[in-house]
Amino acid sequence: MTKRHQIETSSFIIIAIFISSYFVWRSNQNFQNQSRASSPPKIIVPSLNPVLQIETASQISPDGTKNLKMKKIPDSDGSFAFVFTVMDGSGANEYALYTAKVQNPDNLSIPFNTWSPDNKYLYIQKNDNGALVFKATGEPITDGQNYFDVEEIFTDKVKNVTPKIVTGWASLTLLIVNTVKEDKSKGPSYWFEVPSKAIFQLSSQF
Amino acid sequence: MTKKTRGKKARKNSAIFRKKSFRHYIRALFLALIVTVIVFAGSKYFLKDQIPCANSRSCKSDLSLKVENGAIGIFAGRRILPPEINLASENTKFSVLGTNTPNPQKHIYVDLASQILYAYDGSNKFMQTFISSGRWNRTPVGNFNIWTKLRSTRMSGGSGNDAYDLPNVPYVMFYYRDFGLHGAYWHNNFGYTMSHGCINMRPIDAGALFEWAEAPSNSQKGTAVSICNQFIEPSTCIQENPINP
Repeated sequence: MTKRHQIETSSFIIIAIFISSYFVWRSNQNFQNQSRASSPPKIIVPSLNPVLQIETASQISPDGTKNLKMKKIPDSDGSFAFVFTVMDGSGANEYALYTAKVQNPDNLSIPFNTWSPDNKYLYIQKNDNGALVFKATGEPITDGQNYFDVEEIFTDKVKNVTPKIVTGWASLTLLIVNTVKEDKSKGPSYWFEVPSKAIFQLSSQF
Repeated sequence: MTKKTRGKKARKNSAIFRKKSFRHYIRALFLALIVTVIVFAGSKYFLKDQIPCANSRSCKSDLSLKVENGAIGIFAGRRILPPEINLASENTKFSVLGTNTPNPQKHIYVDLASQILYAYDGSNKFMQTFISSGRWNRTPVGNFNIWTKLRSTRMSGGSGNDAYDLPNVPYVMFYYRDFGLHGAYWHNNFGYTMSHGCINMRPIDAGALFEWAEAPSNSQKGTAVSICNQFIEPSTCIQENPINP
């Protein structure tokens, strides 16, 4: 190795030592800054609602043999996850019926008259005027889906009025739908037959 | 006969005639008044606004215990198989005559405006639930007492599209003629009018109320039932034209 090579090698080593020393110094500076920043006692501000609340609701069938239960779980993005399960009146044999993620301000809920009189069907209220109809077993009810939306079918088939509320079951398979006219006045009531999805206008209003 | 005599007789006859005519007129007027009063009173009595039966066909004939398992019912033009009732397995569960010590503090209120039933034992609320009152016939407003309790009976009535025939109607508590509180297995539209005059309840609610409420026993009346146009908790029952004020 020539003298020139020795000088070059030594120079590279010295430069490397300076550079590495610089980075060591900088990293120590950052650590010290962080240490100083965290040194004051941390003030914990109590939150009014530190834990996202899970809402639950349930509705027993008219004869008391079945129960529909709902869990409404808020998400950090402002939406809600809904979990619906069906069980016996005693709480046994619970199984999942439907889960959905719903953005605010949309909402799902269990109405008082959710169960059909023979417990074969049930409906979940969607916002104020919609209803999702299910077979209580969770089996598909239409086109491979395990529910259908009464409001969608109704709007397709009936003009000049829109559903206002599904009040309950007139018989084993007939849902009662109250409507409003385009001018927001009270419209006629209808029967919505679940198996055929047929709609019948009634002579009296519910 | 002279002219003078004839004239006297004619005047006398004329006076008598006037006298008879006046009496006759008074009598006729008096009779007319009596007839008017009788007709008016009779009409008021016989042609007054009668409250029809709640169940026009079973009104008088079927106010008795009936269990007809397997019989087909009809409601809203649809056939329906009623839930079976096994009295043998329930004998220990339900007391048709109520408890051994009747409680006069028990009171059932029905708010027709909100379609809600309240059951109070003194100041303690035992139950609050949605019901269905009269849609095709009105539910009479008034204050009553349960006069009999039947675990099950048959109810039928209506006509045309509204005809119904329902065996095994559960947990019946008649409080005025054939008007009663009872379970309804044929619909689930509580909170809205849906009956022919009775108070429909979910079978699970009717069963609990049936067990709690009391039929008359010895000198005690059955549990009080007040049908109100509007009810304000805990005991204000607003009634318009009650049938028994």
